[in-house]
Amino acid sequence: MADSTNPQTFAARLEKLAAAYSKRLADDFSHLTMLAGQLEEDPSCTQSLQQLHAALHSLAGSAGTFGFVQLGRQAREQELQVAQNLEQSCNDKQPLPVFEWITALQKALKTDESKKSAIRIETSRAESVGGEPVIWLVERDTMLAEYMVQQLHSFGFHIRHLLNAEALAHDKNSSPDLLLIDHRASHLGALRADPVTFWQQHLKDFTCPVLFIGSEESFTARLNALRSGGQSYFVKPLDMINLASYMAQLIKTKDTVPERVMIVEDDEELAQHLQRVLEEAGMHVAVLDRADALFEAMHDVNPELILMDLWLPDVTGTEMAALLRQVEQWSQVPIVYLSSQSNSELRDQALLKGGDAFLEKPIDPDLLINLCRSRVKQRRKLEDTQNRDSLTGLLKHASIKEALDYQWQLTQRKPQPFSVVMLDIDHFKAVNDTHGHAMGDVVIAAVGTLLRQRFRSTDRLGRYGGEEFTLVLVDCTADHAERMVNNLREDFAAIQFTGGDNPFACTLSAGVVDNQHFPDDTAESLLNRADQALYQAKKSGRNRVCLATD
Amino acid sequence: MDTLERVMYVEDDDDIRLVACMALEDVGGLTVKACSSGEQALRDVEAFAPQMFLLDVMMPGMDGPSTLLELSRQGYITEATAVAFMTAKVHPEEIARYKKLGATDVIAKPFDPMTLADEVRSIWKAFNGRLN
Repeated sequence: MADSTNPQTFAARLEKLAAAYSKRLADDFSHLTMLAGQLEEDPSCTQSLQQLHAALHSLAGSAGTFGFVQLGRQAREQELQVAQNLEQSCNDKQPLPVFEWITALQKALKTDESKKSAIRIETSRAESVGGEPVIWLVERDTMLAEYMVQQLHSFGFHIRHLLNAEALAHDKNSSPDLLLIDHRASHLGALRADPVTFWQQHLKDFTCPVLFIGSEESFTARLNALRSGGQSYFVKPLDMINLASYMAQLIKTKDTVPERVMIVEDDEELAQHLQRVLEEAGMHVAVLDRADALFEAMHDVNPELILMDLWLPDVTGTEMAALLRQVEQWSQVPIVYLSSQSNSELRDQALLKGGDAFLEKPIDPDLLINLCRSRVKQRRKLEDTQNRDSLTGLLKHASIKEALDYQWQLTQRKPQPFSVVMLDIDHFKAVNDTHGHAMGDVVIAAVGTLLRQRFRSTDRLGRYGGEEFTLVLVDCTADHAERMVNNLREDFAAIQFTGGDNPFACTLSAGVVDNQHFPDDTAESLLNRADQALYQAKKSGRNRVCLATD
Repeated sequence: MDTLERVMYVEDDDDIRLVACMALEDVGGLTVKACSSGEQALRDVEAFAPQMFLLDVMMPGMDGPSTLLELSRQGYITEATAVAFMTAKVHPEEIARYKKLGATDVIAKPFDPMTLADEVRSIWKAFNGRLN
């Protein structure tokens, strides 16, 4: 994208062009009506038919670009019929119902116009490809694809449409951040004969996450999608907001927080070796060589997985596990035992007493990495479903408070700045009252998606309740937080929500505080200060960000 | 591989030409010479020396394929020139036919103004990848 371009002006100009185009449609319609009249008099007049063909062709090729999807589709169908008619010899020719077609076109135009004002989010922020996730969409239905491109674009995704599976092989130089594939997106017989092998073959060079879409809701369809390498399967008609939110989460987890692993092992050499292996795989690893420091270490490291020798001096791994299981906070942390003994009875016992898996020495590095990764992933997924709000994908009330407490405790031991933000949608009640609760949910979901797109995966983002949000921004001073939240505020205000006949925009207010300005504050009082600052922002006119003061 | 800068774009529909130019120039940062007909393209090609052609298939007078034919007859299509047809008809067999005519690739109409430049660049990239 050219640096000099102002995205806002581009969007504005695009809008103007679209407006000009819809004016031109009036001319197109009167031209069509004239041709319809001519063809009524002489149904086989080749010249009129050719003109009709050209007019419909141009409509089919252009309407979609300006957002008139149904109109474009309708024109395309009619264009094909005229083309057929032109090929027939004079004697076989049936008169074409051109007047009826025009009525159909006008109806399609109406649908498009009303759809433009249906529940839909448009950002006026024109996107550049740099930095923003690139999605490849493999879909044979060009009209559906076009619709999806438009919708997903509103959520900040850059979509490239490929017509079929074969097109995946064409471009070896670039790669997407995510593949979105209609599971039937090929005419090839190989797909019908063995879909799983077909997709595995076509997707073998891709490392990004893959999502399948399709019109069947069945166990087989889902299983095939899974076996083909898909992370999930979405059924048509697609719920775009849901899909966008899922995609945002999926892409976000790519630059995810490293897994936190704690190794409890008295064999120093082995411990170091395992640490090296896991650290090379990108994990954070802490080693504990004394059993009695277990609880302190748990506090410090807050591991997502524990690798534990089954035999430690003075204490067994199973005893350690049993102790951990007594503390609620740690009762769910997966434990993987390391042991040199391959004794099935012992193993069963260890697993019974609270272990999750068993690795035998010598330990295979790949197995170790995979096991750690998958267990942590499982654990995080489970936590997500327990702790995340389904509408926004953000942390629920209790979890964001917990996250704040944890962050606060962390910085008590290891000084590090962090900010707390309270954020609230302005006049939200009016949105619900005027546009209905479904639209209110869209607005809340939009804040969620915007937050998740905008902040780092190490930041903690929560829906505090209703239309109120709490952010815990790690390693971030209040000044910095204020800037970021202000950018977010501006972007949010630029989102155009269109429900029914009344397009509208919403604004946000926010209060910001950091721990450095108030070193003696507890987590709770920081949150209160952020809330007071939010109150200040509301009181002084809304649509602004206020810093907490003494 | 040379970076794509100069694109000659031939399209008879004024509105589409306008929006595509905006998409290619403003979003894509490309230098575009827009022509409303194949005839104009043949007149202006010498002075502009494009690296890539974008040709609408169906135009009154000279259509896309005959414009391409004439351009290559006159020597303006070299090994390093990419050509993309733009058309609503994107059945595989049609794409194959256009490729036989010398097109590098086909861009489906209607296009998305936000992603058009990206599509053009990736065709350029793929085209140059093939040469190497």
